[in-house]
Amino acid sequence: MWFGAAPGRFLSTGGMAERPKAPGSKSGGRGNPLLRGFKSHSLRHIAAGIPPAAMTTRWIMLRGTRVMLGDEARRYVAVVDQLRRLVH
Amino acid sequence: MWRSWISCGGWFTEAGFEEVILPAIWEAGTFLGKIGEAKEEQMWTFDDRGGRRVCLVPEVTGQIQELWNAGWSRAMRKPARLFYVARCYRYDRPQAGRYREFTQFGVEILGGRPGGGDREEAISMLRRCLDDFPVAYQLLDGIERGIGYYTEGGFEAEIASLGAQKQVAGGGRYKEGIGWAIGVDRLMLAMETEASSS
Repeated sequence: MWFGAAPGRFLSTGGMAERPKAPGSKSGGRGNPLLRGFKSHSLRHIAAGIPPAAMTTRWIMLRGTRVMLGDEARRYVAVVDQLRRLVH
Repeated sequence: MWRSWISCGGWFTEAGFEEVILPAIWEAGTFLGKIGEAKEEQMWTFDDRGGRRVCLVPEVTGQIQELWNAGWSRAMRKPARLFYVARCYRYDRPQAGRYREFTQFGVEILGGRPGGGDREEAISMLRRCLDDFPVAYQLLDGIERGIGYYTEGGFEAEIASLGAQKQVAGGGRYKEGIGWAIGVDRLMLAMETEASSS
């Protein structure tokens, strides 16, 4: 499952992020090792929480924005709540 | 107010709802042709440095529909139950209860079977939420809401003391599921109005 993803911080239950560099890949061997093997347009879809198998050429999210769901959303809300409690 | 929202989230989670936190900036095309002509004219749209047509989100349901169709429908257990608290943006004429930046609290139930009770569940959740606040509201069902993605008559909650901007919540069924949103700013305004008149 691919949820709550952000470049370099996506969640995965599969092994896709560790696959070897694909032909034409721009990320293979450089940068964040979790992103090796993905073409740049693929990274945008991963960031959008879309499984690699369902990739299309259309983008719906800007890179660097993120969807938080499940545990990641709960952790975010917990931190914000804790900070709010410090001031209220 | 804040305490009420926290308790609201508590029973939402117990009912199997997951919070989703979405970006405030998004591809404009997600909303065009879907949310109705009037709302599209009020969208904050612009081109980013990469030449992409983007917008500040005017609502959240369109984003969730897009993500559902792009992959969530295959990855999530159905029906998927989501809730959100989101800042939304519309280039509207500012007045009491109508702001260019506002907050929506909403739920979406996606991928349910037809006749599976998701409509009843959604309306029940809306009532339970509004009942948690000291406001007198009226729920109207089976009304035309003027939003392109709805596939049947929707429902709205009104608070008469708000006057012209009396709609405080709205929702309905769309292809992927059913959902509603409460206008948090209007709810706050209604609480202030009703407290000052009592």
